[in-house]
Amino acid sequence: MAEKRNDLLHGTLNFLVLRILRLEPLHGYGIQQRLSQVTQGALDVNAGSLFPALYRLERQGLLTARWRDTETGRRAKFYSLTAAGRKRLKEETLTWERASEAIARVVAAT
Amino acid sequence: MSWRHRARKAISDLFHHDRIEREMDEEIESFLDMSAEEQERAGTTPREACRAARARFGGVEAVKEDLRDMRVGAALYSVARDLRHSARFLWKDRVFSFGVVTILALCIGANTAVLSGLYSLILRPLPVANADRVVQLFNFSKDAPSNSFYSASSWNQYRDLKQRADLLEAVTLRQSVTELLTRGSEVQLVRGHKVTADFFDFMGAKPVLGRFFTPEEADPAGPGDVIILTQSAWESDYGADRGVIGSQLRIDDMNAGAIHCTIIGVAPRNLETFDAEAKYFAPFRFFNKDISNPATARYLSEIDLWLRLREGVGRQAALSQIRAIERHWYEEVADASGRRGYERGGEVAFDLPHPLEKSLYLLEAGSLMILLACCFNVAILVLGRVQKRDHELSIRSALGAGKWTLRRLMLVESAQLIGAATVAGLALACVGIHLANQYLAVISPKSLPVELDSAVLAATLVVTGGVMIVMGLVPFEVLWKTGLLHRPDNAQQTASQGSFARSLNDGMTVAQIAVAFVLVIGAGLLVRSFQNVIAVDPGFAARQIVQGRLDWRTIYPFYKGRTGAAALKRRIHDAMLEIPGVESVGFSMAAMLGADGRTAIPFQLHGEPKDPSRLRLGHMVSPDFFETMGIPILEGRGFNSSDDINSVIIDESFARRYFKDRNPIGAEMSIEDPHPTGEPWERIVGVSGRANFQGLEQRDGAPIVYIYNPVDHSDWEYTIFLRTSRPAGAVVRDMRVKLREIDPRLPLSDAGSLDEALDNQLVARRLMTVLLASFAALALLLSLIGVYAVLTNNVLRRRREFGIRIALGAPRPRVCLGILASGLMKALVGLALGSMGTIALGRLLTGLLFDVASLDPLTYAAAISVFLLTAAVASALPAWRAAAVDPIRALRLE
Repeated sequence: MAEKRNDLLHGTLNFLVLRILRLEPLHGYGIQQRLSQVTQGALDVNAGSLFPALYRLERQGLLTARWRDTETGRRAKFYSLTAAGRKRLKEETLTWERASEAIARVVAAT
Repeated sequence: MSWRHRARKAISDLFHHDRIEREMDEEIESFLDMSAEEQERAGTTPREACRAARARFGGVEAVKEDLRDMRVGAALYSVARDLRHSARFLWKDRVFSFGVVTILALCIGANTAVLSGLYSLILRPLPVANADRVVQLFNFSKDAPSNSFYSASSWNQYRDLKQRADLLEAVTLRQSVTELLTRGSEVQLVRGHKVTADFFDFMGAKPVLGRFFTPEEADPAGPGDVIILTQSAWESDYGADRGVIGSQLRIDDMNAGAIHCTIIGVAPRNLETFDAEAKYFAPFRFFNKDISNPATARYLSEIDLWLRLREGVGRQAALSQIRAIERHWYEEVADASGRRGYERGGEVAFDLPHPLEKSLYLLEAGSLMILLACCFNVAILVLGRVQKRDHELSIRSALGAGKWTLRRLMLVESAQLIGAATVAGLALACVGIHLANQYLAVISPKSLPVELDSAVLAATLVVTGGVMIVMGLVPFEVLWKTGLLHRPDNAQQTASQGSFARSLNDGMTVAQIAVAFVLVIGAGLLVRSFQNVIAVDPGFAARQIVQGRLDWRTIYPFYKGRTGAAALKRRIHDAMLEIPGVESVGFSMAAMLGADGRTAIPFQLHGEPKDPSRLRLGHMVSPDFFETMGIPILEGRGFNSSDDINSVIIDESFARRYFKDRNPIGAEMSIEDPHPTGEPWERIVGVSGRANFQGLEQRDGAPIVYIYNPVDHSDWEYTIFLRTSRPAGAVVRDMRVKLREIDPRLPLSDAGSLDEALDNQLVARRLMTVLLASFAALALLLSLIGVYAVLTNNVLRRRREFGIRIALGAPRPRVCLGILASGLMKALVGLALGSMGTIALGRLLTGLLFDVASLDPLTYAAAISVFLLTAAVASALPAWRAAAVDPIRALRLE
């Protein structure tokens, strides 16, 4: 089971989760679906990676969770960003932009 | 997240564990449902959708395990859960758990108790500052063999070393004394220390109460009218009253008469190591008028010198400097002053071995071997159990329990076993130490009682902790490595798959047998020695003799010198004869069967060349001594009133050793070597039977010369022997009554039958033998269990193979014999390995064996048969089981 985990995503997964939750609170399945939709199926995060990431972010106080009903009337745990989460997202977005810009330059130059 | 937040969360997680667990289940459940719904919308059947959702999710339990591990305080919770779980498991397997705990508790108990003894009596550093540089000085004569040491020293030597030995940083002097102590109306004969002013400073001691001596108070030529109590005496005699400082005590001393002393302080308990029975410290006093005269006695008094070497000075360097000073004194001063004939010194040594050292090291080695055997045994049992549980473990592994989770489970289980065993073992050790202390009071009365020291406790806990980790992890790692735990279908593992575990098992069984064999040989040799010792004829009628010791030097000043003392002795002699049932009364100056050994010294035969290797013991005895003791006169005659102090009787072993075929009667000898010029030579008037007063083990020890000492001689210390057929207790009571009538201050000590005294001399040997024999018995039992467990396990695993063999027509007896043979084979290999170990054992046993060779064939033959028998018994049941395998059922297991 351990080998199924996508280690490439390990650092970025947190960032992506925060990013997705910026728009609205979502439950685990919703996050997984949204990630898959946005990347058009390129990033299929499995539950074995997603849940630990959610738990970790919640423990760090970046996310908070609340049980709510979904549109279909099912009870689910909805995650949303805390103030600290928003702040972190801002920082990470900046870092990410800077890094991807730098990488893009390198790619263009060589 | 701050630590405070984290801690709060950890605590709330612990308390809301069930809720958290529920929420996690619910969350994952809802995830799966949503996923399934999606599939259903895409057109699959609900059943198929559900399956696909789960497949997409991956291992649900594994994800849960991961999430649990992430929780704050998760480890704590898992341990608590594991504890509950493993307690349930251990309870289910009660025979195993109880067996392992018992075995471990016995080993831990034995090891802790023996190590406590070794530490308290030998290894514990002196209660001194800079203990590594502190040594005790022993003097001996270069003419005598090196085993005749004297701890005797003197003011003379102390002063010399203090002035001239510049490799020494400090020197201090301690004298053991027995004095009459009067406190109000209470009179007690007590032991005490006399010390120089530098003693407390040397020891680095601080007073518990009050203060220590000033140099003026401790002036050896001064009045010596101050006293310091030991902490024990302060507590027992004064109820730890802090107002004791300034109160008065009277000491009666033979040399100084009565001294009225003021109590100025209480000394700390660690100074009681020197003599557990001593009650006080008083200033050392030197009664020679000329205190700086170099020609006073040097090696004669009961005085210990303690030296502290300068930093960086080696022992050898210090020894040679002191040796040079002693030789100088011996050859220059002693010769010029005519003291040379009396003094036996000139050679020096530091720190002699404790008399119990050899036995204690032997027991320590024995208990460590037990521990080793025990570890092998427990490892075998645990491995067997883990193998039995491999099915459970592999299912757990398949369900997502990682290697660390399984490791934790194993550790928790072994921690529970070891924890229980340690508690039980320490309790056993306390009982053992308590019992041993009762014997110690007989074996070595001056030693402080053994206690469970914190250093020993720490060592025990470290070792048990190590055993816990090894016991918990090694069997698991072994199975993990061989891959047995990765396959959920390994219930039908074949024999070959477990081959590594099996050879490990076999190796441990063999090692265990080897260790047990060494112990059994050691115990066997000691038991044979003990039998041989008690078979020695004491040479006197021990059962019919009652003894009692009088040392009344403390009241000597009341008896007006020699005539008074002689008259007192005669009165005591006559009073003893009046006791009903007493047939005769004998006196001897020395305490003949006491705990403190006497030293053999050189002598000279008239007209024969000097031979310093010839030694003798000497006893000054009254004429009726031989008749009272029942020692036969073999040649010549016994003492009678025509004799004087120049008449001697030698014992049989003296005659045999030094006269061979010649007739010793009438020969002349000097009991001193060299013979003091101008003195008459002693004349041998008779030869007596050999009497082993030094203990039965001293049968071949130094020969004895008995020196005539009439009843009317003025002595202040002697042992009284009464020949009687009445019980000892009653006679001792009558002795006390008679003595009280003469003078209530006469102190009778060591009173009892000689039989008892002889027995007391054997206590140390008996204790050592019994302990080592119990260790050996335990090791033998462990081997039995080990062989049985390993073979049973083998038979269980190879059931299929036996089934096939039997089905193919192998005769059942052959299958049975095969298992028996494999049991015996293990025993034989173990014995072969053990035989090598017994060579090392021989070195530990030197000096402890009596009339037995360390390769005694009888002991070896008996031990080998015992082991083969044990192996046969242990293999019998597994062998029968193997032969009884039903081929149809065994093969159906496939």
